[in-house]
Amino acid sequence: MVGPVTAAQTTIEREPPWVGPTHRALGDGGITVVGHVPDGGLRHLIAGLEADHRITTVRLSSEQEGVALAAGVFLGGGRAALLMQSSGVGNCINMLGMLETCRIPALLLVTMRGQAGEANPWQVPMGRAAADTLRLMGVAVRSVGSAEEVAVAVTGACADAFDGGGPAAAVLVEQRVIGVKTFAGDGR
Amino acid sequence: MIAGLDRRAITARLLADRDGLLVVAGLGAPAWDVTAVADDDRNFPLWGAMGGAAMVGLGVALARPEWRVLVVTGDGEQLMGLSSLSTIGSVTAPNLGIAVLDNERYGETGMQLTTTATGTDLAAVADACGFRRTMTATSDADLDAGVAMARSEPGPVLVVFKVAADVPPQVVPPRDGRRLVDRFRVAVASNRDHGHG
Repeated sequence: MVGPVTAAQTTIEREPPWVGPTHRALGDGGITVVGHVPDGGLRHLIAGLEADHRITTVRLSSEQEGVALAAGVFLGGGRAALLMQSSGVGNCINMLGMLETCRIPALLLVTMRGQAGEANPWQVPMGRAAADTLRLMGVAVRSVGSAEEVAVAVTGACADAFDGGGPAAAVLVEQRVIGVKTFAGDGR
Repeated sequence: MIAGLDRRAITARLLADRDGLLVVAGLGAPAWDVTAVADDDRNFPLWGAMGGAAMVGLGVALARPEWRVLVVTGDGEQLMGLSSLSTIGSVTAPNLGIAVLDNERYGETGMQLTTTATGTDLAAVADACGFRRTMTATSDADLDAGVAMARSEPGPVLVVFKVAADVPPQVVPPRDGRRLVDRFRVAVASNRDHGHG
């Protein structure tokens, strides 16, 4: 059912240096359920988490499902993280209201599109609005611009959200860390 | 549109003998129905987050595999989370049941028709998404099987109950979300030994 991997999916060949430490930071932070909608920048992390028997991964059809999933995991006494691209933040808005109203912690790891070097202008509006959107909905935001900072930010966000009784926390990984997606004909 | 089953009577049967049962209720009438049975610490009734009830239930089910988790929601709420049926059908969740009280209406906003009134079959959708079992109960003769499936068959399962478009008296749960979360978490933790899959 799954066809051959195309060139567009293999732009990022090697595992970026932030992925392993971030995976460990999620585990050390007590995360046992991870919901995700893929992004090119997240694909190594998602693959690693899916292979980790200590973590239950859920392939979300839409990002807002993940917010509700995280709420349920917390109700059951667990901790959930959500992985998504910046465009997915927009899909979460109303559901995030539940986290604020009920003071439910969750960790969001968001890879940014629409920033420096973006080749798809349709990604720009939500990329520009993602951080403010999260803040408006009561989510604490940390934006990281280097690979070394990602795992540290995840650890801090986990502590704030789950140990500190804080609201949901998001770590935004800027596009300069992830790299730029290219399209056929770019550079002509 | 058929004559329709009694939503309060069905809810009472779904929640009977509920040791080991955690309940997530979708906003509006299903939350009132569940609360009419009892304002129980093991209920998480939603006052918002429309479209999220089934996924909240999945989260509880994954975190607490030793409990049965029952989502009681409405057709409009489930339609807004239609894609979540695909997600839930893709995971292993033997302890999750979803009961949809389907009156083919948006009850909180004036009884406007939903798309189940014009043919969308939520049980067929769930079936196509990979749920272990699904059924639609349209008469009293279907109730025993429907309740048993929602309560105890290996999940994920989804049962649609075609209910009457009436409006029973509102019985509202607490509105304070933090209180609802705290008491649910305490009940889950303190009654761990009573849970069973």
